Amino acid sequence: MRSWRRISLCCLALFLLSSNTVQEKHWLTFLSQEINLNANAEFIELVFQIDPDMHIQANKLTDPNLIPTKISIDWPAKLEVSPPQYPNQKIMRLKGSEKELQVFSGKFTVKYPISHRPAGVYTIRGKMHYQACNEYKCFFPRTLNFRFLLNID
Amino acid sequence: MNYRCFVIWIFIIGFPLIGFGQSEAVDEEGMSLPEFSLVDLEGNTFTDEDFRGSYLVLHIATTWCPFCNAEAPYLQELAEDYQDRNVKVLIIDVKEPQGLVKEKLQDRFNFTFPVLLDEDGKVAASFAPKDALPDLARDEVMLASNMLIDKEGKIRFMSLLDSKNFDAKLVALKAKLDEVLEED
Repeated sequence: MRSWRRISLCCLALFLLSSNTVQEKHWLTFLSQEINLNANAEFIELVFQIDPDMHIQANKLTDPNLIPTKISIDWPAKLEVSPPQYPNQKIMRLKGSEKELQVFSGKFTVKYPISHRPAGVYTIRGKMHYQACNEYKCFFPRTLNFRFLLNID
Repeated sequence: MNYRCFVIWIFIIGFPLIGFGQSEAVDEEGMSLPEFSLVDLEGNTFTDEDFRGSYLVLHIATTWCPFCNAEAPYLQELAEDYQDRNVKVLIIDVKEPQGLVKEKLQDRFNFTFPVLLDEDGKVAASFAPKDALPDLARDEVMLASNMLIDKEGKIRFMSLLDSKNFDAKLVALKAKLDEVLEED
């Protein structure tokens, strides 16, 4: 009986996975799964890699219609972390248009100033909401869930 | 025994549903305007039948799409330039609420043509050509695309397939439109 229960749960999981995979394709990868900080470190640096030929809208945009990149992180209460510093935006001009976009592409780092850093190992979860395009197509906004291990000496 | 029945039912009910949401793709050869019935920003219902007998320029959009926003003024310009030549223009907005679309598209660009709301994306998905970008959801494939549909409902131009480069001023579409109007 127990094996049938397992099989049924697996089937259900497989079904849910299959029906949603298409929408869950992401255009970037979180690279900082493990971060080691010493006692004097001023920043926690999170590195993301956007797929080749793709870009995402930057965190600050001139066009209010567009969706800015936004990262939210559940920081442990013991840490004192300030709002993030995003990298410099790149300016992209749409072909056949005078319109300029502020974007991120390639590898980029988001820095979080940290002022209180008690030693320890912390598992931290975050989300990045972003909207990606390539040179001729845009894609629905997505939320990338990520997790990293923060080791503070 | 109950669990065995449960598993069997999962297979029977589940597998046909795996493809749900990836609606029927239109054949690339002889593509036609799919049947649809959608509501505009004022609550008026439009169907595909309302456009039979006219040439239709159709743009599939979202408020956050930079390509769609860049193209919007030129779409309005096209509507004005061709209004006396039996050409209608239409935007189908995908998966966004009425209030947002009104504020960010209609109020910003003052379109004189209908903006229809495809709230679940099924109509947009029904335009997606077979095998185009197979790793994406069918409604996503069609974002920011332009189409020209003739009086008989045949799709004569689709920017998704014909244009790899962004054409905000709709140069390629207008060239095709002129060509089709010449044939008439």
